[in-house]
Amino acid sequence: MKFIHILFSINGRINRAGWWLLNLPIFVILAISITTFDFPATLLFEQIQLLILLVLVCVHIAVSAKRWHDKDKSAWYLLFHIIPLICSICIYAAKLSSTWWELIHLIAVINGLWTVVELGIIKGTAGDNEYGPDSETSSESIIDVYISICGISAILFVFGIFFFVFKEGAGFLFGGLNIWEFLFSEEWYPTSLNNKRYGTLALILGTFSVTVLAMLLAVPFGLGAAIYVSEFSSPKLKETFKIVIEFLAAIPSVVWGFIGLTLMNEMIIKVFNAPIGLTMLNGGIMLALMSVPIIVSIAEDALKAVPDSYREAAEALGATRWQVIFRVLLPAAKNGLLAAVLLGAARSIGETMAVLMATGHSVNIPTGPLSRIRTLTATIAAELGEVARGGEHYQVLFIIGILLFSLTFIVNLIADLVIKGIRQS
Amino acid sequence: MKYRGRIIYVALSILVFFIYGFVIRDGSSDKQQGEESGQSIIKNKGSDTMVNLAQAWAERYSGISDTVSVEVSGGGSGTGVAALINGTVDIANCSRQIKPKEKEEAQKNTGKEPIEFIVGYDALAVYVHKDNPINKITIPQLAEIYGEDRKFTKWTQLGIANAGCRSDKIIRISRQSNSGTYFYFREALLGKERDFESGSLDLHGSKDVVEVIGRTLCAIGYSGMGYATDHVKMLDVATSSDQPYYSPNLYNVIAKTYPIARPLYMYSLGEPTGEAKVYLDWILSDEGQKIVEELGFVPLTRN
Repeated sequence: MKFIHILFSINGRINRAGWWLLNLPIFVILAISITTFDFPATLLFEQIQLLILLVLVCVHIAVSAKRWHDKDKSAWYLLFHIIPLICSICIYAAKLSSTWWELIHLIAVINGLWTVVELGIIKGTAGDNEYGPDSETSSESIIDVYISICGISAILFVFGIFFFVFKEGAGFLFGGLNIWEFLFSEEWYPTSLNNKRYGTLALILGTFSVTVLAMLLAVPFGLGAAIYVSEFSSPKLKETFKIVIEFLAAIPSVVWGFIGLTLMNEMIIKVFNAPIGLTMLNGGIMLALMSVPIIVSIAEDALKAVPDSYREAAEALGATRWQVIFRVLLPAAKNGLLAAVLLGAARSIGETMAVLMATGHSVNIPTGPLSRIRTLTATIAAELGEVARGGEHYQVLFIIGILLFSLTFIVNLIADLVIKGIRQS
Repeated sequence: MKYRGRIIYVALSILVFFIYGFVIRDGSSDKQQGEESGQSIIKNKGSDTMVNLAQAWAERYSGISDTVSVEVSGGGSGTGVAALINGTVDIANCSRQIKPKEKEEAQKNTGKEPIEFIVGYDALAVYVHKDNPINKITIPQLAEIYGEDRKFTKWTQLGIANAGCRSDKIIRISRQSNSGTYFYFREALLGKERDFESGSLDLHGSKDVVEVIGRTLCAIGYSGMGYATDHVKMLDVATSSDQPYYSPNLYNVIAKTYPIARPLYMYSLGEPTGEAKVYLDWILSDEGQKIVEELGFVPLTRN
């Protein structure tokens, strides 16, 4: 009820901070979407957009009306906002020349500035007035509403993205795609002229194998580094370490891909005497290097969160440093450590550019670290650019998107259940 | 009373929304017209194979004309044609011919037919590492290296003692399966009936192909003639073993004896007019064609 009252009712008062908080996002969204909007909204997508925009305008008006109340003025003062609009209707109807439009723009700008000053900067009346109690002392509920909107919109965005991906792929998913072949055939021939085959087994195995390899490399290193940074290094060294590790996270993935394509390629050829260095191993090393910073920084936070009293108690009982870490710290921080590993894994599954360049991008069932593979993400990245929009191949790429979505969802779900299980036991 | 207030409020919101829409849209379209009167922009987009060439043309052209600037972007032949269909570019670059379906769509969407210009040729060279002893190859041999159910998986099967390649396996370098280069090479080798065997390295750019071959002794691959480096070697190609071999060079491509060369296209929506026409004419002139040759492609005629 409070929710609807604040967002959609023109009764009551609101302070300046509340007005900015609720209006600023609306201004940004309106400014972006109105300029790009095609008015006869024909597509479902556009109609949804129109609906959302209308709701936002309602919120804008409701909040502004409350702001006028805060200044002890009637909500009818809102009509000042539409002076330039009424002028422009008149000019539009009378088909006047473009100098008149310039004038309208000038009026609109002045009017807009005045509105912002009046509503956003000048304080409301002190104490209670006929529209409600003092707004400066009763702003708690507005912050409440604002924060819940942020939370809800995050969920809406996730569903929106899933809806979009699903909509693009749904036509072929339910009409013509052989799901069995899609999941269990290794024949990926999307552009064959007379025998198109969409089997993603090799791609799924490619994604899995390179992620597992990356985790095998990254987890020991990452956790080891986290333990070192949190338990062994001096405070000064600790700061340096953290900065360097964060710098590692700032290297863009295409740069990693390039290192894989040139430097690591050469090294793998020399060290393993392989015919070519663009392999699962190469991709795995690149992914490991990319996920180590994430693992280190989250694991280090988890270890830091273990109270010092645990360490002191263990040492008081005569435990060695190793025993303190292995028997006390790691079990106490295991939720956080698991989260660190899973976030690192999620980074690897989702990575595109580095694996596209480093793994050889070759449709093969992986047989060992030196086999050339291809991942689901790299396939989407490489092929979506040139595919005919709306065609079968396009839809299959979106179905791969759905598949990736489901895979990460399952991984996250398992992680949640595992953490819950750990917590209960 | 309360009810009426609500209706007014909703009506007001709808009104505000639509009118703001009109004002801002009209304002922005006014601005665009203003920009166009000062300097005109030709938007040019498409094939990644041609993007360096298109960029070079645009740069050289900006030195000639002060009133026209050409905006070039890549993204692939398909992307260029899609933009042409949506009417968001003036000229689309395409390393393959436009498909009848795309032509139809453009006609339906914009009411204009795409007009085709051949602006040069691109010879696809077959590359190997410079230490590979092989020097020439035939199209049927290539078909059996790349095609589905292929016969040749080892260099010795071709009669080549590739000492640097210990495993003796031929590593096939290819392109991602919907690039214009891939389509053209597949059709040149296998016609329309057969596919490439999967398991090749499908790299994402003409440059990467040459880069990887330059580091891989077992590799064979194809890419534009202009991308050659010191680390790779281009093979002479014959249509069959009893035909003469031709090396990929300007002379052979213009004489149409080199078997794997393809035209490069530019498409405009309808007969080009105004600045776009002047630009296309300039591209087809001797001066524009000289740039084609500078970038390692093949001009329409040899002067």
